[in-house]
Amino acid sequence: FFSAPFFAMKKLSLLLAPKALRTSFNVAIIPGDGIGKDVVPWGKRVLDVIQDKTPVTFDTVDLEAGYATFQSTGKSVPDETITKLKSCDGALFGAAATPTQPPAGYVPPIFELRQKCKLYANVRPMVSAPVDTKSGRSNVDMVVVRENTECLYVGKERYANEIMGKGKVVVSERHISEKASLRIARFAFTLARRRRGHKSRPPHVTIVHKANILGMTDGLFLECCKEVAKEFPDVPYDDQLIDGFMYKLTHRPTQYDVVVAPNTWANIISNGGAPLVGGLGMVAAMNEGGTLMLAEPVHGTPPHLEGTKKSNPIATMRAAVLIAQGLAPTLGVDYYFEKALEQILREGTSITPDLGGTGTTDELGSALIERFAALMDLGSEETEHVFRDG
Amino acid sequence: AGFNTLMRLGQALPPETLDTCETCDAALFGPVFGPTRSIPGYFAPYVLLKRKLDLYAQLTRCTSLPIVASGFKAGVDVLIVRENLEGFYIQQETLEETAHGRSAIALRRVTEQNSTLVARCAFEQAQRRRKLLTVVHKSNILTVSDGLFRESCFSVAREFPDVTVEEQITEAFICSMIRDPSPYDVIVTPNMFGDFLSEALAALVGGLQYHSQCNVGGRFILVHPIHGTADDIACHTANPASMLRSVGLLLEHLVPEGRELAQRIDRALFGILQDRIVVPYDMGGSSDTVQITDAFLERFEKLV
Repeated sequence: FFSAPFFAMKKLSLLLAPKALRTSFNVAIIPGDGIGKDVVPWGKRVLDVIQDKTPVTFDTVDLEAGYATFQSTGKSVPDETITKLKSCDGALFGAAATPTQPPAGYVPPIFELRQKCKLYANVRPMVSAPVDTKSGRSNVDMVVVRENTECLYVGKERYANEIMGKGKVVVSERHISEKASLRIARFAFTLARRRRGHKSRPPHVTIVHKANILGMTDGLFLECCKEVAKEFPDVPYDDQLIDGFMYKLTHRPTQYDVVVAPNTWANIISNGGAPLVGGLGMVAAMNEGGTLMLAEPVHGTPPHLEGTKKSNPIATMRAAVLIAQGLAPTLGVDYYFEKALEQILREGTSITPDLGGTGTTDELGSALIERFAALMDLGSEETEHVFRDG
Repeated sequence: AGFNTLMRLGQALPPETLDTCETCDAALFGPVFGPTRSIPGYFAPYVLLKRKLDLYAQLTRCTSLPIVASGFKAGVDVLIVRENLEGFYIQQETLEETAHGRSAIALRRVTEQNSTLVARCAFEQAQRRRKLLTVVHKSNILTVSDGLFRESCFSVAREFPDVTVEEQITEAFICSMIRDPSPYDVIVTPNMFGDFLSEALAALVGGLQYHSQCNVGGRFILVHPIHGTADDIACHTANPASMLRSVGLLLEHLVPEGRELAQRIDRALFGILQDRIVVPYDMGGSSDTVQITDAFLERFEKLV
C-alpha cells in the first residue's frame, strides 16, 4: 500500500490538478438485460483495480434499469434509479433488450437516462484494435461526438390525415436547435484541442450532415458548428454529407480525428465504424454534459449471444476506464488499461469469438484484469511520464 | 439538366427535358453537381424527376468486382432497395425564433402506399435472386413511422411465401454489413438510410466508379451512376465504368434480353481491366476516359 508509485501519484496529483483533490466518487452499476449482466461485472472489476492501486475510492451502488425492469415495474428506469443517480458521479450501464416492436409505454432505458440526467454529449472513441479482426483496419484513431438530445429522438410522431389512395400516413418530427448545436460543437472543438497533446497528428473536426436535403435543420446545425469554429482558429475543420462520409469512412477511416454530427447520423457513423476497429464488442461511449458521467458499451444484447457467456467484455471495461478517466484524469489509468489490452490481445489465448478466438467473457475479463493490475503495480517511471504530459 | 443548365437556362430541370422524359420509357443520366448545402432555386434534377415520374424505388446492386483489388471484399452480391419519394425528401422544414434561440423542425413522412410499393418491388427482386429479404429500419426509436414501414413490408411478405424475410435495426445492420456483407441478398429500407447504405457498400466492394443506381416506377426507369461530379478529378480522366454499367442496368430492366446484354458489357469491361489493356487512374494507371471507352467498345464488339 505504501509503495513508491502510490506516493508518486498522490504527490503529483495534488501538485498538478486541483480538481483531482477529490478522491472519493460514487459510481452506479446498472447491468440491464441479457449480456449486460455478463459484461458489467468486468467493468466493475476495472474500477476495483483502480481503487486498489491508487488513492481513489469508488463507492458503487447497484441500480435497476432495462426491459426486464419494465416488465416487472412498468418503467424501464424506475424513479428510485433516477433519484440515486442524482448523488452519483459516474455510472456504468450494460445493455437493454429493445424489441423491434416496443410495447406501449416502453422507452429504451439509455434514452431515459440521457434525458433525465441531461447528458447532451455522447463521446465514442474509435481506435484500431491491436489484433487482426474481420474488416478491422489499422491506424484508426478517431472520436465520434454525437449530439445526444434531439434530432429524430424527440419522440414526436403522429398519424396524419389519410391521403386518398395512400392509406395510413405517419409524420415524424426531427428537431435541431441552435442551443444544442452550439453546445455540441463547442464540446467537439474543445475535445479536438485537448486531444492534440496526446497525438502525433494535428487536430481536426469533421462536421457530418445532410444540409443539401435538410437545408433548415442540418443547415442550422452546420451554421452553428462553423460559428463555434471561429472560437478555435487552431483547429481546422471541414464538413461532409453523410452519404459521402460513409463512403470515405469505409474507404479510409484513418483520415479522421474528431467527427461531430446530429444524433441520428452520429449513431449510424459509430455503429458503421465499429467493425473497422474490431467490432461492437470493442467500442465504449461516454454520455456527459451534466453532473453525471454515464459510460456504456455501444452494443446492445443480441439474442444470439445471450446465454453463451462468450460476449466480449472489452467495450464495458473500456467504459469503466472512461469513467475513471473522466472523474480522475490525472491518474492516467487509460494508458495502463490500453497497454494491458494490447498485450493480452497480441497473446491471443483468451480472446472471445468476435475477435477470432474461443475464449469466454470471464476468461478474457480475468486475463485483462490480471494484466491491468500487474501493469499498475509496475509503472512508476511510466506514471511520471503520464503526469508530465497529461 | 443539372447545375450548368440552371446557370444557362434558369432551371435545373427545364420543362422540355421533363416533357421529353415523359414520352420515353427510360432515361440515362450522367452525374450531376451536388452542392453540400441547399442552394436557393436549385433542386437536384434527379429528385425532381423522381417525383414527377413517380419513381418510388431505387435499386442499387453492389457486387464484388471480378477483378482483384486490395481492400475490396469478395463474394458480395447485395441489392439495396430504397424507398425513393418520401421520408425527409418531402422537404418540409420550418425555422423559427424561440426564447432559447433558433429552432428548426424537419418532417419525415412514411405512407402505407409507398412502403407497400417499395416492399413489393423488393420482394419481386428477392424472388428472382436468392430469396432472402432483410427489412432495415429504426422502429425501436421511430415506433410509429418505421413501425408502419415494417408493418407494410411484413404485409407484402404474405404474397411471397417463398422468400425468407428478416429484419434488423439500422445501426445493427450497418455494423453487420460493413463487417461482412456476403450473407445479405436484398435489403429494403426507408429513404434516409438507403441513401448512405449504398455508398458504404459500394466502397466495400470496389468503389463508386463501378456502380450505378436504377430508379423505377410503374412506367419509367431512370439510371444514373452512384457517384457525383468528383470535382477533384481532372477532366477526361474519369473512369467511365459506371456509365457503361449503367447502360447494362438500363437494358436489364427494359428488355428481356437485357440481363444477357448487361453481362456482356461487364465481361468486356472487366476483361479489358483484367488483361490490363487499359489501367484507369483509380487503379494507379493513366488511361483516360476516351482510351478506356475505345478499348471497351473494341472488346464488346468482339464478344457480340
